[in-house]
Amino acid sequence: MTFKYLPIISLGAAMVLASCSDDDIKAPGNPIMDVKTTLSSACFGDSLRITINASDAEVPLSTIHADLYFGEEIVSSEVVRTKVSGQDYEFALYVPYYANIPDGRATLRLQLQNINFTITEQEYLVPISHPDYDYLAFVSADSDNPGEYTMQRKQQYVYEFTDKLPQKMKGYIVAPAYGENGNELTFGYQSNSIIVGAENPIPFSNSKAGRYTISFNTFSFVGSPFVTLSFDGEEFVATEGDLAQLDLTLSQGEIITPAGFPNFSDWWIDPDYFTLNDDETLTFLPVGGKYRIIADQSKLYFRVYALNSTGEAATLADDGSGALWVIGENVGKPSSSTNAVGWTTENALCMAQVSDKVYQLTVTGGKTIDCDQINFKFFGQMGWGVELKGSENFTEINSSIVGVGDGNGHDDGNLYLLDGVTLSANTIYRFVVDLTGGINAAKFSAYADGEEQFTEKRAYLNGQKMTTYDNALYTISTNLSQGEAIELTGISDLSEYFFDYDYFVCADDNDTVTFRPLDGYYRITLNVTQKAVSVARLNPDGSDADYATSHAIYMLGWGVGFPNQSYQNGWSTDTALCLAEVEPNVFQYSDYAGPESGSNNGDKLRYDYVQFKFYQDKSWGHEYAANACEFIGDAANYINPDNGDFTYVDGHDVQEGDFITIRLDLTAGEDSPKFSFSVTR
Amino acid sequence: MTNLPIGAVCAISLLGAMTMCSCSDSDPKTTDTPVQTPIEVKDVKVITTTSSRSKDLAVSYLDFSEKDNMSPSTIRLDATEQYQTMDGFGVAITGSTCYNLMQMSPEDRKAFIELTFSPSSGYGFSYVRVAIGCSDFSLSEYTCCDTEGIDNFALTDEENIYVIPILKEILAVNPELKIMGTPWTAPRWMKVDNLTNLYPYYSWTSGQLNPKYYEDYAQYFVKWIEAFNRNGISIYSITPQNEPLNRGNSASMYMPWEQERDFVKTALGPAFQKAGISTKIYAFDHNYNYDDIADQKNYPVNIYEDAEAAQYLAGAAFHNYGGDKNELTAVHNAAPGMDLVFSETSIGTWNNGQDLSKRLSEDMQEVALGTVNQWCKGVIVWNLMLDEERGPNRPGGCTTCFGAVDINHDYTTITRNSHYYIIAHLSSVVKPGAVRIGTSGFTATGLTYSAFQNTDGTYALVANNSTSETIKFTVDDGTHHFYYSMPANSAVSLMW
Repeated sequence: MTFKYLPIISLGAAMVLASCSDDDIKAPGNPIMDVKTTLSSACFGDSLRITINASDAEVPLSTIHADLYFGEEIVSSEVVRTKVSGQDYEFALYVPYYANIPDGRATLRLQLQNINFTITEQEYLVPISHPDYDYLAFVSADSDNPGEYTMQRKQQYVYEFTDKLPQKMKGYIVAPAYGENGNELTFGYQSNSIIVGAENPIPFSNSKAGRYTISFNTFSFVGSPFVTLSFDGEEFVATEGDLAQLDLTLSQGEIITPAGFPNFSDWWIDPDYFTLNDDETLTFLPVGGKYRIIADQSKLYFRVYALNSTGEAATLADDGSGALWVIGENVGKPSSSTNAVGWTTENALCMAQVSDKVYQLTVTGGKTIDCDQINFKFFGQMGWGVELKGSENFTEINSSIVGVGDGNGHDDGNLYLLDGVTLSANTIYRFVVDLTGGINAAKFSAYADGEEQFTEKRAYLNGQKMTTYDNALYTISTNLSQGEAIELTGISDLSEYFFDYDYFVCADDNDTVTFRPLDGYYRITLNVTQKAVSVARLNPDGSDADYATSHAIYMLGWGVGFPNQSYQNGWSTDTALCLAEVEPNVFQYSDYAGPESGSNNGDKLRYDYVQFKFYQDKSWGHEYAANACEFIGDAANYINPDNGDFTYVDGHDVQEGDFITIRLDLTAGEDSPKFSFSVTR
Repeated sequence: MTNLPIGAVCAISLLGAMTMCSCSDSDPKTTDTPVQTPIEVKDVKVITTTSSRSKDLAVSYLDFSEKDNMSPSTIRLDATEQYQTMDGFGVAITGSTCYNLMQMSPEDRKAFIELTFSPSSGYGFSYVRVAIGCSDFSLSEYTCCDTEGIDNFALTDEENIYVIPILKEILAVNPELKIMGTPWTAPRWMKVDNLTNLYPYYSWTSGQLNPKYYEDYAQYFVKWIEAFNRNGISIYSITPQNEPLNRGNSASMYMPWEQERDFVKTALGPAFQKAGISTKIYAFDHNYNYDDIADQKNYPVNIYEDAEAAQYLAGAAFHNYGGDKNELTAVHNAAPGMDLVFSETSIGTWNNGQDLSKRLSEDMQEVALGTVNQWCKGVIVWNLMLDEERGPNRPGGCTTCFGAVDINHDYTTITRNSHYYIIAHLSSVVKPGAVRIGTSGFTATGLTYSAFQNTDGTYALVANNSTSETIKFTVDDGTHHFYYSMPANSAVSLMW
C-alpha cells in the first residue's frame, strides 16, 4: 500500500494552546512531531500503524495523543508515553467498523505534549472505505449442523450461502483480515441486532427447514432470513429463548391474521382464546380489552393473558372485573404433562373472560388436565394474594365432577375431583366462574362438553384447503395442468414427503413442485402416516376415472405398491394404482426397484418378483394382459410376454436400486396396447 | 422554580433576534432583564429548555458540518417516509384562562399573547380548544341555550366578554390559528336520566342526551359555530362531547359510543352538511383506557364501523387521564384513514405539576412526542393560564390543576410550566401543514425525538433527553448534517 500525506492543518512546532498566560508568555518547550507513516487511506476494521519521531530540545516530553474522528465524533484514541526525545514511537490506532457508515474522510488528530503542557498538533484527512472481502465464513452454533459455511460474495457488501438447513440456524460470521492493516472481524448478535466484535450466535430463521439462503450485508449489518412473527401486521418482539410477545387491544370476535409462525399448522390453538378459521385466521373469543400474547415457538402455542390499562397483568377487582387466574397442579397448556402450571405463579393461566365478569377455563382430559386428580385454585392475580376460597367466596357450586374445597377435607379454594370421579381422556371440560355478583358471590360450574376432535393439520394445495376425516389422509380434488406449479402449505415436514415420481417433478427439498401428467381433474392425497403424496385421476363428476371417460389406466397385482413395498397392492380394486398419462394415451408407472421388506418410499416395484395387470377402470373390467400386449424394446428381457399376468422372466437382471419405467402405450388404439419396461442403473 | 416577571418574559429574545417589546421603562422589574448579546444567525436554529431552567427556551445556532458524515451516532431523516400532516399545537382557552388574561394590563396581555401565538415573533401556538358552553374552568355553569327551545340559543357574557375578545386578540397575531370547540354538557332541558327511562334529568352533571332532541342539539352546534363565525372566528373542529364516559365532572354528560354514533349519523353530520359547515368532527375526546368500561372499549373504532356515521367524522380525539398512549397506534391501525388529535392533558398537584425537573421529560415523552409519534395531528393541553390559586375554578371541577402558565394575583408575574414548554418546543419549529417524516439510525436510552418537514421545505427535529448525561449526535437530512450536543434533562427544537 502506498501512502501519502493529506495534512489539512500542520501547526508544526510553534502552536501554543492553553498554556499561554494572559501575559502572552510563550509556553516553555518546543515539541516537534515528524510523522513517518504515510496516511493515504485505510479500511474500516484496520489497525493503522503510525510511526512518529517525537522530540523537544528544551523540555522533556510527555505523551502523544492520537484521536480518530468520524465527523465530529471521536471514535478511536491512543495515548503513547514519550519518555525519550528524538525517538521513533510506533503504535496502532484501530479504525472502528460500524453499520451504515459510508466511505468518507475521517480526521486523524495527532498531538505531542511536553511536561509543561506545550502541545503541537497535526491533523490529517484519511479516506476510509469498506473492505471488499472475497468471502465470509458462517460459523454454525447449531449442534446438529456444526462447522463452517463459506458465504460467497454476490455483490458489493452482500455475502450469502445456500444449504439444507434447519428452520433455525444460529451462528456468527467471520470476516478475514483484509489488506496489510486489516484485522479478522466477527459479527455476532447483541440486543436484537448484528454487531461487529461479537460471537453471540445470530438466530437466523426460515419459515421452514430445508434449502434456504443465509445472507449478510457488510455495509448495513443486515442479515436474513429472520422470520417475523405478527398478528395483523403487528410484530412480536423477541423476549427470551423461543418466546416472543405482543401487546394488543382486541375486541370480542375480532379476526386476527397471524403471519410468520413456522409450522403454524402444528401450533396448538387455545380454545379459550381463539378459534381457528379455514383461512388460517384466528377469531378472538374473550371480551374486548388489552391482552399480551406470548408466542412460544418451542411449545408451539400462544399464551394469552389480560392486561390492565397500564400494560401490566390484569388483576381481579372486588366487583368481579379484571382477570381471574388459575394456579396449581394437574393442569397446563398446551399440555398438563409437559407444561403444568404447578405452584409457580409466573406460570398462572389467565382464564378467558367470555362475558362481563364470567371467566372460563377449557381443558381436555389427558391433554391439558390430568384425568385421575386435580388440585388447583382461582387467584386474583398472577401471583399470591387474592384467592377465591370455598368457605368465603362461592355462593353456588354446580358440578357433578368437581368440588371446591372449603377447608373441611380439602384445602380451602382448591378444586378436586369428587369421590369416584375420573376425567375421561379426550373429553372437553369447562370450568366457569361467574363473578357478576362480585367476588363474594362467585358461582362455579364445571362440566363435560363433548369429545375433542382430532387435531387437524391445516394443509393447503394452491391455497385450497385439503380435507380429512381421520387426520391421516388429506385430499383435494382439483383441475391441474401439465407443468403447473403446485404449492403445498401447512405441512411442516414437507421436505420429507415422497411425491409420486410419475405425477410430480420436485426440486429444492420439495420447495418446488410441478405437475407432470396431462391436464385433467385429479384427486391428490397426502398421507401423513406414509409421508407420501399420491394422485388418482377423476371423471368430471368426481367419480373414479375410467378409460372411456377420462383416459384412466389402473394397475393391480403383487410386487407393485405405493409408496413402497410394504403396501403391495395385490388384487384389491379399492386401492388400484392409477397410472399417470404422461403423453396422450401413454400411461406410466415408474420408480425404484426395492425389496419386499424394508423398502423405502419410492420403491414402487419389487426387484425380485412382480405379478400385475392393467385395467381400464377401477374394477375387474377391461384388462390388459401381458400376452395381449406388443412388447417394445427389450421388455421381453424382463417380463414374460406369454403369460396373462406380467411376471419376471427367469434369470431377469432387475436389481435393487434400478430405476424402472413401465409404460402402457395405447396410441395405436385401446385394443392395440404396447408395453415397455426399461431399466436405468 | 423561577418566577418570571412579565418584564422578564417580554425581554426574553424569543427566537434569537426578536427585539422586545412594549415593556414600560418605568417597570422596575425590567431592570432585571439581562442584556441580550446579539446572536449570530447560522444554519440551524436551536431552542433549548433544561429542566433546571438554566436554558429557558434559549435560542442558539449551529453551522452545518463541512466534514464527511461518518458519525456512528447519526439520526438520519427520510423525507420520503411520510406520516401524518400536522394541524398544530396549543392550549385550551377556557373561561378561567380568559378571565385571568383580562386581569392583565392590555400591554402585558398583548405581549404575552404575541410571545405565545405569533408564528413570526413568538412560539407560534397554532391550535386551541374552547368550550361550547361551560367547562369545569368556566366562570359559571351555563350553556348557550338554557331556556328550553333551540330558538333561545344565544351567546352568553362569558363568550362575549371573555372568550371571543381573547380569541380575537390571538387571531390578530396568528390569523391561521385553528380552534376546536367542545361541549361539556348539553342544555339541561335536553337531558334524561338514561336511554331506557328517559326521565328528565335537569342537571349540569351526568345524564344523557334525550334522543328526541338530537336535531335540536345538532342545531345548537350549528348556531354556535355560526355565532362565532359572525364574530370573525372560524371553528376548525369540534368534538360532540367532552369526556363522554365521565359522569362526574362539574359539567358533564354521558354519551356512550352507540349514542355518539347515532347522534353524529342522524343529526350532527347531516346538520353540518345542510348548513354548509365544513368544521371537522372528532369522535370520543376521552381517555386511552375508555375509563375501563368494558363495552366502551374501542369507542371511536366502533363508530367508524358504521359507514353512515363515519362519513361525517375526521377522526378521534384522546385524553391521557387513563390508559396508555399506545392506544393511539392501535386505533390508527384499526382505522388508518381516520385522523387522531390529542385534545387534553393537565398538570396539577397530583403530578408535581409545577416542578419542571419532574414534568418536562415526562410531558415531552408522554404528551408532546409520545402522541405525535403515534399519529396525532395536533396536541392541545388544558388551561393556558390559571392563577396562583389554581383558578378561577368551579365547585366540583378541578381545584388542583395548574395552567400551562400560572399568573400571580398581581397579574404581572407568570410562571411557565411544563405544558407551556412542550407546546412551545413543538409549535416553534413544526408549522401547520408540516409532515412528520421518517428517521433512522441513532437511538439512545432516554432520547426521544420526532422529525418533520415544513411546507417551506425546512426540517425540524424535536427531541427530549431524559437522562442526566449529555447526549451527542449528528443529524443528517441527506443534504446537510450537523453535530449537536444535547444537554442533560432537556428538550430541544432544531430547525434548518
